[in-house]
Amino acid sequence: MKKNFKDLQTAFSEEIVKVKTVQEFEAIRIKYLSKKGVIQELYASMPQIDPKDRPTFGKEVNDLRQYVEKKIGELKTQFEKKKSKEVLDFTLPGRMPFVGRKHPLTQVLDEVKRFFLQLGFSIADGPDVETDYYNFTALNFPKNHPARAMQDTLFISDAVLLRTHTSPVQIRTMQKQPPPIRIIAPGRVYRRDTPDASHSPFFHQVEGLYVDKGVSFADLRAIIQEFAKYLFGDDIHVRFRPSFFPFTEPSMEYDFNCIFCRGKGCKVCKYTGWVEISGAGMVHPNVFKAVDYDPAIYTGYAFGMGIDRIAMLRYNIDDIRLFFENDLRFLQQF
Amino acid sequence: MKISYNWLKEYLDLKIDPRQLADRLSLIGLEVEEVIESKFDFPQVVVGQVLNVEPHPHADKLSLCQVTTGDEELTIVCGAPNVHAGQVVPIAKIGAVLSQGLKIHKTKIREVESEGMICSRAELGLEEHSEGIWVLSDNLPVGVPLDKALQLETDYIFDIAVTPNRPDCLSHIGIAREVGALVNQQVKIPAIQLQETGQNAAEQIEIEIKTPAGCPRYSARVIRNVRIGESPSWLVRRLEAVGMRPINNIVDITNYVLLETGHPLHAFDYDLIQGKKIIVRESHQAEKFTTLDDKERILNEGTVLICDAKEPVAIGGIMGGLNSEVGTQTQHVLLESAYFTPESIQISARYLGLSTEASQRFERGADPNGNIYALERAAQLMSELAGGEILKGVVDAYPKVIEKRVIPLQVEQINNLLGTSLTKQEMRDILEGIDLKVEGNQITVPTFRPDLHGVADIAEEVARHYGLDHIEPRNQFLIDYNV
Repeated sequence: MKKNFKDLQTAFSEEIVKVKTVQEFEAIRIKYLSKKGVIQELYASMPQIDPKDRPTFGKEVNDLRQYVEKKIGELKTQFEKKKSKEVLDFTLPGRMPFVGRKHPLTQVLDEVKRFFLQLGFSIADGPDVETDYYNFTALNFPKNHPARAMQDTLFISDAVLLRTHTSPVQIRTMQKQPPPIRIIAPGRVYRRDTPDASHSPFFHQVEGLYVDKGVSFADLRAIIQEFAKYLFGDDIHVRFRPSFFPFTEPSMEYDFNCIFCRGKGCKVCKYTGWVEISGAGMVHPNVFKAVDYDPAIYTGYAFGMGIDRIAMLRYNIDDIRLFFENDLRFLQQF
Repeated sequence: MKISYNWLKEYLDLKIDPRQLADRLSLIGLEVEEVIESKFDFPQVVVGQVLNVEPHPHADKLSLCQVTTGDEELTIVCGAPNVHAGQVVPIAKIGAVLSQGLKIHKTKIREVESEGMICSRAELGLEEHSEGIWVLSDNLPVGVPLDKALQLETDYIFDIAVTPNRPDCLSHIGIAREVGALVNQQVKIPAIQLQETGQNAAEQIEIEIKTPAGCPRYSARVIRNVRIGESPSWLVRRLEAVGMRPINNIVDITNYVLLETGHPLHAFDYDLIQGKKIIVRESHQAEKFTTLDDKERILNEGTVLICDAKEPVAIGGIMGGLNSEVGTQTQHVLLESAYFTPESIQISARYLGLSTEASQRFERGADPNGNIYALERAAQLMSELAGGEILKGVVDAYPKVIEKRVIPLQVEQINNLLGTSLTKQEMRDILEGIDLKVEGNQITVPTFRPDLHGVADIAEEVARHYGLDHIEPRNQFLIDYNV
């Protein structure tokens, strides 16, 4: 037995003098002192030892353990000392820390906000999870009407859904305060769409609403025209086409001159010279009735715009999914 | 909705370039998503006749056909199983270039020389896939180029995204009305001239509406002794131009009138209606019914059912039944032209998961007073094209007449809303251009416009036809804020 312990100690001593690196140090520490290490195994073998030899055996193991622990302890101190003595070279060029930046959608949204804030609009907000009442009923979508099928809704329950547009914020805002109202409401909206280059199950809109005495379509035209110039340059024109939304009457869609060919016709605008931006219109009298505004006194316009759509045009991006994949190689270009 | 430019010419004297028209339609709210040019351009394809058919000596599935193109006889190797002697068929001569650039050469097929080709509809670009050669009507003149013989002219098909508020524009006459306002013409609605004979229809059919809330009006005619067969080629071409498959002359006529007027019709086999009776009632919970697509449907309570004396024969406004369908045996037709309310059809169609040409129109709002014109028009065509005898009178159950809406013309409010300064006369001219009647300060809204209720709706009509881009932007607000 005795000889056995001597051999172990010798073997350890020989191994430890060869240790040069931190990795080797770790390896030897684990070999001897870990839970499944040599020392622990010796303790574990105690039951097989003849009971009368056990005290001696125990003492030998303890001695060995103390020896190993001491040596390893010394070596550890050595390594730590060495580390603290390492010289720093202050003349090395610095490494650039990683700096985050604003997502391209945020950048576009910031620009949109800047434009409307300077015109006295304030920012309003509403929840992403909406009730059927705010998303549809109060906005003059009759129950069961095919107009509801225009928007593929993600329902959570019969009465609760993910908002399909930012228009519920119109209702929430008008319920809270009397006219005049001048707000924009940016936010994320959801549709039951299969993702492809031009569709995503969620995207971003900014809703605009202006209600006061004497607000007309001529005002709406002016602000959208000015906005187009602000965003894309003085030679961008706006075209309005009549359309249908239950919550505006008259309703229209508006197009900008194609940003790429400036209206001459190219692949992006399918040679029409125009790119579709979003919908707008004069607030429907039934919407005013839902929030107890008198449509005989007040009129208003509302408009929407797709932030993703504008960003795609602005940066000539042809796949909406790029915005949501969060690939740094993409995001760092903005 | 697919709209054929050539079809529109039936109602208007159209000279405007089709693509220009498409652009102008988009600017009045009828967004044309696509203009498809449908051109028949095969000068080397002529009308021919098959004289003789023999089996090919070296191939089981081919035959040797002797055909005449008037001035010459050709031997053609043909692979179609439906070729027979005597048929009048389209012949592509040597040198013809067919659909997808297929060029016809003089060629040997299994050692026999073929001097041309008998064409299928697919080879002439008229459909995706054909089952065999195209057998033409016997009375076409042999030797004449096919496009001349069939009077095939280039057409332009507009694919229009009609918004849900405009059910009236789900028809050629509806679109023609809007086009008429653009080109300053009155729409020419085809005149009805009916030859009625025999008994009163009322003696042959009795109608009882038990659910006026779901079906405020049910009108019908009885047409006897129809000859079921193929529709004439002009009708087939019109249906196919807008993507509808021809079935037989009676069904095709109901579809044609649907696409023309926007009013859905249904033709029953009169002999399969029991007890000379039509009863319109609500379904019971979980009532079963087999529709004409041979599917058993389980209905929810309150679906409008068209029944005879014994059992249901159709789901009102959605789909007919298998048990009363018009087929080759049909002798007499019961022609239905009813009005079902949007609310009722919306719920039932959604519950059944069924969206048909009929349900799409009723759930958006058909014209409760336009059904009679559609009925008369279809009856006339059934008499002209299927030899039917129209019994005397329309059987019309219409317990409570739906009147035209009258709303005030509020010139000042409209100008306020639009930011315009139009005169009353200017507004009146616009509104009358789309068939609204203006008298004094009152506008009478025809029942084909269920979307027009108040001043904002009228403002939209004015703005659409005045032109949104003609309304000057008002920059006062921007100036106030120093932009």
